[in-house]
Amino acid sequence: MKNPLNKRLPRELKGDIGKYLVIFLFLLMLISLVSGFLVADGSLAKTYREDFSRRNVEDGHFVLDGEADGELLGELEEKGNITVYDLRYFDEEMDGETATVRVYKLSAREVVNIYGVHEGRMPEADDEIAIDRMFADNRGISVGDELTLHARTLKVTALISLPDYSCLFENNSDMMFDAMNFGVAVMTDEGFEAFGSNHIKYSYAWCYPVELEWDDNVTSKKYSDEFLDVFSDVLSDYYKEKVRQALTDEETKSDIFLAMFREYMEEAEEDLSKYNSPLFYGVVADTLTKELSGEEGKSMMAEYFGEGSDQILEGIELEISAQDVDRAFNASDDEVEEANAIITDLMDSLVKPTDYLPRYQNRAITFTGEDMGGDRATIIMFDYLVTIVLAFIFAVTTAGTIAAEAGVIGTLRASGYTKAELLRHYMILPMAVVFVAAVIGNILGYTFFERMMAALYMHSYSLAPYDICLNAEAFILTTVVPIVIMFVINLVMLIDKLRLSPLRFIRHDLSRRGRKKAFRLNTKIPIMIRFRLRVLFQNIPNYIVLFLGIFLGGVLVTFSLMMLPLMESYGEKVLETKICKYQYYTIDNPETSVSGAEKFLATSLKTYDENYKLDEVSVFGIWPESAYVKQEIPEGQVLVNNGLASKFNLHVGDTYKLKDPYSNTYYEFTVGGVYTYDAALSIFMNRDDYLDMFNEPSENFTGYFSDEELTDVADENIYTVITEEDLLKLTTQIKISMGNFMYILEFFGVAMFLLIMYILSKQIIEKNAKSISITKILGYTGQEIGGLYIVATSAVVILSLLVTVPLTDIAMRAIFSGYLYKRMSGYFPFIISPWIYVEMIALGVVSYGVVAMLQMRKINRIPKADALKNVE
Amino acid sequence: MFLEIKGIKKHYGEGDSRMDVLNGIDIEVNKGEIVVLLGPSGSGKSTLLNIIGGIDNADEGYISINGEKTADMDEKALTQYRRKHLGYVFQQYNLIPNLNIKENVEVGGYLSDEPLNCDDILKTLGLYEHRHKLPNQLSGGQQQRTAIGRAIIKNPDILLCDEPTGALDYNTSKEILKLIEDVNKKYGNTIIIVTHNDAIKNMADRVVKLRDGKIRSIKVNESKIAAADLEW
Repeated sequence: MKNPLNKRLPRELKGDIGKYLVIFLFLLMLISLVSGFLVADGSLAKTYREDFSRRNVEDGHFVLDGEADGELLGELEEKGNITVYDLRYFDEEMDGETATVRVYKLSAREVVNIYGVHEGRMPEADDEIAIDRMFADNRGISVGDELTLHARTLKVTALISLPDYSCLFENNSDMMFDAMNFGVAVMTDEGFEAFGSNHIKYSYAWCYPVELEWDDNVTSKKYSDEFLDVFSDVLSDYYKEKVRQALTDEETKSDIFLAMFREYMEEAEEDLSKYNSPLFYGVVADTLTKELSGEEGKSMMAEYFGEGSDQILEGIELEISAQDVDRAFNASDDEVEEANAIITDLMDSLVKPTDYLPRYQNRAITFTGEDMGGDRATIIMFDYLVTIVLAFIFAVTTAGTIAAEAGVIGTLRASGYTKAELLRHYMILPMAVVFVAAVIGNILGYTFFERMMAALYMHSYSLAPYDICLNAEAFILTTVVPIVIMFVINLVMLIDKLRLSPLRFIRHDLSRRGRKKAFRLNTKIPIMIRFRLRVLFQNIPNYIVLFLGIFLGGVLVTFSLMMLPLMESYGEKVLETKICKYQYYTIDNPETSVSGAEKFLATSLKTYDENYKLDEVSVFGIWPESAYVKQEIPEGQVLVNNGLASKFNLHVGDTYKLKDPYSNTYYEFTVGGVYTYDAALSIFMNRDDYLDMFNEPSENFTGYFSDEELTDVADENIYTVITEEDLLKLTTQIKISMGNFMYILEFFGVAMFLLIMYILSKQIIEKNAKSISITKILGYTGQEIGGLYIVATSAVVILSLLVTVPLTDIAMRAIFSGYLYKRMSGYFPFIISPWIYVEMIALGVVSYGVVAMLQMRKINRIPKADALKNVE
Repeated sequence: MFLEIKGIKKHYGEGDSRMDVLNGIDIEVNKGEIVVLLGPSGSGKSTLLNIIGGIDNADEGYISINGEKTADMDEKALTQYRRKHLGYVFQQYNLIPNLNIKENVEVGGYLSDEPLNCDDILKTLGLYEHRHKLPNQLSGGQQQRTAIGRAIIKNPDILLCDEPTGALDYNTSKEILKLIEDVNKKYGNTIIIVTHNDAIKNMADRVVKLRDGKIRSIKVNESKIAAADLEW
């Protein structure tokens, strides 16, 4: 026979539907969101990983300053054992906008870095274009819209994603991606050609025959280094061969000599003019011919062909004939000009590399993978904490039910019901609520919330369309774990409560230490205040859980409210503490005459403490008496920036080790001071110390600090310039990507306030229903009764909110230092305005106001007849 | 007439399950009288008491105290009516469990502009030495005395007692009845006692016998017996 007690479960559920419904809805929301997040996170991460193979993501790419011929590419493929793909593109600004669009050919994107279509169809006509989904979202562009690039109007046919731009870094040297102002796009091959852009970049992607793990930097570097050697050798051979080919053509050879000789002659004209003799010319020409065939000739050629041509001309000897000399002496100006043009054409035909970027260093590809999953631990911790609070709510309310039903329990126990039977009975509803919430929550998690959570990622990253994957971990974390938490906490409470004897239950004597004695309150305190104090003391377990819930809600609300203002303040600090207006990273040590420009050395090292997410640290070598880093750097020691000091708890005298990202070399630094610089984790050391540590030649430098633009440094000598705008990209992007998540947290925080306040104040009122009924009969007004039972709870709520402020402050600092700093790369300081706490308290008070109104209605509805019944 | 109960009718349920609990009750009570409502279970005596106490409504008829009719009163006015005129004593004491004895009595006193002295009442009730205890630390008789204290501290015009001895043993019951009698003598309150204990009628000035919602008899007691001398 079924336990007849089970028949009362639906009635109990119906009778206390408010409590069960609210807890159910909260659990449902929690499980849906957490499940949605974990499923989205897992599915996207899986898709991201698998797309490396599925979408044939490049192992790297190089950019040449011209179109490579098949011969060169064939050599690279053969000697490098790679496959090369033509991934040429052009960058054009959107007309009337600040945004740049990088356009690729469709055919290339069908074989390498293969596109994914989110919406629409790929372009078919010349005037059609498919653009990156995230960029389109950010700029409000939809399928069917038109966009104008360089006065060409193109129809958007699809929103796509490209796996080599899962993070929209325009340049790899950018501090942060900017999906608002940079996007990628694809046009048909014909459309691409017909566009006729003047900004074509000849980019070539390569793939190794083996698949490398996307995060295996060591193997990737090994492969890349090997290919780089091949790349360099093949290019060198290719140049030599091209020049050799040119020199085997007698006419070209003669033109080269002519051009060179005339230049030489022009320089020497003044000297030679006084020796106007054919004999002399003959001697000079003979000597020159010999010289040009030897070392002198090489250097002359190098000078003529221009900077960087040493490698091209290596091993090439210019053999000059007497006819060449005669021609050179007698050439007209037109002939000389023509000869120069031939040389220019030859040099132009020799494509030179302008960029080489293996995949493992390409942030547009790897940044997403490194950043994904960073929120997982936060979400899981949040899941556990909320479940624990909910379990305690159930435990406290069930304890209240047991107290209310003590007589029945005693009678049942006396009649022969076992503790286990009663325990099961009281466990069924809480467990059923969690179970149903888990089942429905998982269904919602896999459907609606998964999309919502994926949208959060999609707000930051341009990820490919993905398939939802079943996620065992999500099931365990959102279903098994909450059920276990709920089970254990309720079980422990029930075992404790039900261990009393039947007689004790029958006598309603549930106090474990015998009969409770009333502690005395000064009788000078007015009775109404004493009454409230008694209500307060009577409900201490409820109030403890209430406080815990308010604290947790307060932390959530505070965290959600503080992050965006923090980013604002952090942005201001970044600008306040910037080293200079323009931080130039240069190539080939170019000099500048701009006053105030100061050289610096810099490299990038990595942290290696596995307790933290790995960080990149910029190490600067600072020139003596720097005008930009004004703090004195002790010899042999370094200044660490305030971020590094805070994040890793560094103090003067400490030693700190960093690792070369691509080898097993470690560098040890002794902290000599802290330098206030908020833009990035950094170390500042004296130039000489830097040169020693990194074995740099003394003439080398990495770039310039300057408050003026370096107008006299050629573009090809500038690797990147970091401006104020770049410094703010980081905070802007964090604001964009965190925004929605913060709203969810705020919602949960306020919901937690409402839930905990509602359930527990409801329970307090229900526990005292009979007393409330008596006071009504005695003639107390609703307001007076509210004053007795609601004011006590109000006082606890207000006090909890106030106590929560310092505790939240401590908790937030602990979360930042003990958790966030370990889970995120980079650093931003803990900044919180007191107004955030005022807002948090206000939200708590408003939430309680709503609950108090509901409870006041409840008090008013308690029938006076309750006091007349001997209710169990 | 101090308390007039006129034409009170009350039913519960509808259709087949309709039960007429009171079928036109007319009673008149003088100030300072002790009235006993006597009858078996289901006779309607507690319902009548609740209607007098303003915690239940009559379908028809009215209750009038010094000319104030409860039927004309809204919830707020009824609260004020109870506050001003009534004291209640229940069979199950209905003390507030988390207040000590003195505080339970003071809860009643708070409602009056001129409450009686709490300590005096506690002494009169023999509860003074227990005043700091919680209700569950006292015996049933002591708890009922506390309930009486709570009811009389505001010196109500009418003290309504619903089976005040129903949960008590013989001796304690007599103690409580004597206390009620003393209160009546000392403060002159009108007291209405609902009971099914036939012996209690002997301490009343007026005895109203109810059965099936109707008055079977109203008898003015010519020869009252002191509560202490009651026997059953």
